[in-house]
Amino acid sequence: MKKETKLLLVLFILIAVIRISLAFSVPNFTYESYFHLRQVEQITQTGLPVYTDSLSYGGREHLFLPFFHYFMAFFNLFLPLTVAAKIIPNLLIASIVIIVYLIAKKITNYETASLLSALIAGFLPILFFTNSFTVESLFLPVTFISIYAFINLKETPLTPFKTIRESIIKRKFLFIYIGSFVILTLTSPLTFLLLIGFGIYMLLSLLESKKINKAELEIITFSTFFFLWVQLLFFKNSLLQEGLAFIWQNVPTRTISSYFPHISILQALVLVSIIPFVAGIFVAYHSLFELKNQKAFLLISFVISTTLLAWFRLIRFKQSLAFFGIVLAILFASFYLETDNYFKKTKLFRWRKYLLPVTIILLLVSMVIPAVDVSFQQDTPTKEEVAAFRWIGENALPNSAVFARLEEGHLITYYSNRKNMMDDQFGQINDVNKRFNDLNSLFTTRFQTQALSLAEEYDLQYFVLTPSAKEQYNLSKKFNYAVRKCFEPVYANETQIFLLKCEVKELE
Amino acid sequence: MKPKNKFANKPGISSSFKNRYLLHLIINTKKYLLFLLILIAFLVTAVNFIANKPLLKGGESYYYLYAAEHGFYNSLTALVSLFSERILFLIPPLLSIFSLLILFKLTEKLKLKKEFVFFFVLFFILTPTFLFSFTAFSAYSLFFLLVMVGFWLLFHHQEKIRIFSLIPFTIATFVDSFSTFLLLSLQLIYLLTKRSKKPQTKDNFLSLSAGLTFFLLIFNKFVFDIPILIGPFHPQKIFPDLISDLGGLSGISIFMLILAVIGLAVTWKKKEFYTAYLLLPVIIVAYLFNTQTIFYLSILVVFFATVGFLKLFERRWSLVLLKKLTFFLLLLGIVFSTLTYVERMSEYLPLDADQEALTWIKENTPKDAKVLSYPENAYFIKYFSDRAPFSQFYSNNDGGSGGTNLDLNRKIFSSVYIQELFPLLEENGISIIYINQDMKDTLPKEQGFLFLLKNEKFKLIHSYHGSEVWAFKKE
Repeated sequence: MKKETKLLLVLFILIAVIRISLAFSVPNFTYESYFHLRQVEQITQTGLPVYTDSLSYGGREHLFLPFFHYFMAFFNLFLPLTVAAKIIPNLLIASIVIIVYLIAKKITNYETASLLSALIAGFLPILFFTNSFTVESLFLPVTFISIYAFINLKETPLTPFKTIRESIIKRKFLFIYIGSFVILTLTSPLTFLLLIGFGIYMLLSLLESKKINKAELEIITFSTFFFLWVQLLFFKNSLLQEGLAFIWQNVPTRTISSYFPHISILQALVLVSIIPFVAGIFVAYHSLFELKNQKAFLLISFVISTTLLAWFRLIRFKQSLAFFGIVLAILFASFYLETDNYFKKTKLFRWRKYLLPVTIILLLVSMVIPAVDVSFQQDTPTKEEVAAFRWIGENALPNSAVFARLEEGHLITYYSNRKNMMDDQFGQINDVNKRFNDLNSLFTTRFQTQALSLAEEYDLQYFVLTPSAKEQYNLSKKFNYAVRKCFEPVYANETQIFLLKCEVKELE
Repeated sequence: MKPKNKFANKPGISSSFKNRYLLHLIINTKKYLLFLLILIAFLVTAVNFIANKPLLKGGESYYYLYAAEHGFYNSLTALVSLFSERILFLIPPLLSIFSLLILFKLTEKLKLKKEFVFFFVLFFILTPTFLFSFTAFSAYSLFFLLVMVGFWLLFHHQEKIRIFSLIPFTIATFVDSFSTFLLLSLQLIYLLTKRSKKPQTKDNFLSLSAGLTFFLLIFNKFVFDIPILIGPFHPQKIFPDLISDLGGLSGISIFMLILAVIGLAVTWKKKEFYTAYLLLPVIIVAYLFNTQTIFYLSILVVFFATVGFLKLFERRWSLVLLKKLTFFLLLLGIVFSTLTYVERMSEYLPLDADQEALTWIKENTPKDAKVLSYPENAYFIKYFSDRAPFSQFYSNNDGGSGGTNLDLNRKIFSSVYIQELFPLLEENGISIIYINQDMKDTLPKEQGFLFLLKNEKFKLIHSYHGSEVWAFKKE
């Protein structure tokens, strides 16, 4: 085994171990993960995801691409879900290290620089949400596998093959691309990021009068039509109902800024780390305006597409930064290569031996601490909060509806197996803005009549007040309107649960 | 030894189409596509007939039906007034079939490639804009037919027959000024193309024809006050009206649109496509101004989509497997888009509930009653109730008395308090309110107009399958 391969494997194992250890050191998952956990659990039990959901929003239809959930359900066959959900996504994200190495090596043909890129990708703070069980953990590595296959497509021979085996071996990158693209298309609508990137790549190549490879054009055409077809199949009703607004996933107006915030440079610097950020910008400028290197064009196209889509609020901030960060990690290899060449050719030659260790130290210092910090700062429910939701599952009236924070909506459906008033799956919900306002009113109102009439409207029986809710809504002890006569405390720890006893009636 | 393909050397077919089944379809274009057209037309009509829904759809149809009953004539109302009400639903599909037959004749005269004709007509039939015209009267689809008939006659080798082309061309000028301008552009383009090919030949008849169109463009505008653009008859939304997959009334499939972009890109700056390039910006601007012109835009998009499709599959692919997959995907995508559209066509207004409730208004309310509803329902109100709608999108020369009142209408339906609603209703003489299921789905329930209907001044006087008629009692 080559030295670089061994180092790469060590790096992969190291990052995987760190990630998994961090994942197990934080007791629960991020709030949004519980939606996916429930879907995977349902697939393991019945073979089908919960498309008709009787609990979310008191009953609704879900529309989502199911590949990730089936993929995880496979592991759930021989591993408990809570264990699989901590190990597999972290292994998947750790595998980005290998893919980034391969892409960087293809672009620079320089192992040391590629290993540094892999190191950056491994410790990107934005990827250190180790307890996040979401589609992105599969989407990101597979996206970069498809990019790697795409870069290698040029080498696909045009001559006919003598045997099927020869055909498969010589066209392996074509098959890898098709396979990974099919997985991506069935995993997340975010795949359009890749297509927009391809579009910008073609445009840049045309502007620079570079000839676009025939195979690349063909694969882009195929990908576009396949993606569109699959999305139309899955999201037909949503598209017809919501039209172009479908892109914004029906996110309530008041929360849209937290889902699609404008990019803050400072935040971006922390989450993708300063060194790859600066190096990436330098390489992008250098490749575009001076070198005009077509290999880098593709990656820069992805940077442009991600930035544009995030700017127009078409993709979520975290998603765009994750994608952006990995591309910057790859571009770092070019930066290192150029810096190394510069040291070789100038009077700095005698300092060259220090370049690698200094780079490694700088990268580790600037990335590892923020990465571990991100992992510990994840927004997850506490053990006590989870225990409260479990209590509802065991003790609450069957078919009852539970009121809690928007973020806690999936905890109600997953742990309590009861109806919630609202969660973050907003798609196809007609009155989402009104519901969101009503949910906030139930936390902030002082009027019992308002609370009772809203409770009646949404058929709510249990009211959960977690420490996180108290903090978010600035409540000291309990709901402002919760008098014992009408709201009987049935669970009183740090988290309080009240059972509704009254109703609003017109006077005779 | 491979069996010899009997279509391999057919004239007018590109050698890149090697699949024998596809070749068979291309050779028998007329037969198969006509069958497809009749099948779709039959299915669309049968679905509405079985569900006991009105067989004619869309505001434009009822605009012409009402206009024909009340003596206002343009080309389409003249045609509508010739037939009995019972068989009126047959006119749109018959016009479509006739258009297709003429299109085939015209493509023969123009000596277009057989595969181009096959895919152009196939894509056109599968386009929601064309599908919608199976169940609706559309002035633009009639204009399309008239222009095609005109050019077909114009291309005839006998001088005597060519003269007859003036008849369809003249009738076509009564649709609207924009359409007449398009006709004039086509005639001039044809004239210039002919002259550039044979500079010494003079075609006096063609010049006369173009001159007459120009005269009628001016004459019709100033004498008959022909509108610049007809419509709109429904709320305009640029993207959904363009892309049918986003829930528009008609439009084009997203796959077709992408193919058209590919077509535009590959033919860019090619001399033979200058005509289409000239018309494209004009039609796009018209579309942005009034989405009713989607019919013309669809024709151009389908044209470029066909060019794109053929260019895509005539070129030699380095990844043959991908070529087959992409071809299959494209056809699946276009068919899927079409089927999705056909599936929801029967849900388009008017529904049987609209017809019943509005007919009830005709029989049970005073003749001078003014009916408040969404502006897109105005044409159904006029035709079925014979009452004046308070608001409508388009009312040029239809003999009706309802003005546009779009802002006022919006203000009324967004009222939150009776203090602001009642004066608006009283000042505007509104006595009847018509609410259908579509309105109930879009208006807020807990506050606003629907909530205010609980007031004692409103009385529900009729209800049928979700369509409601309310009376408003004045002070």
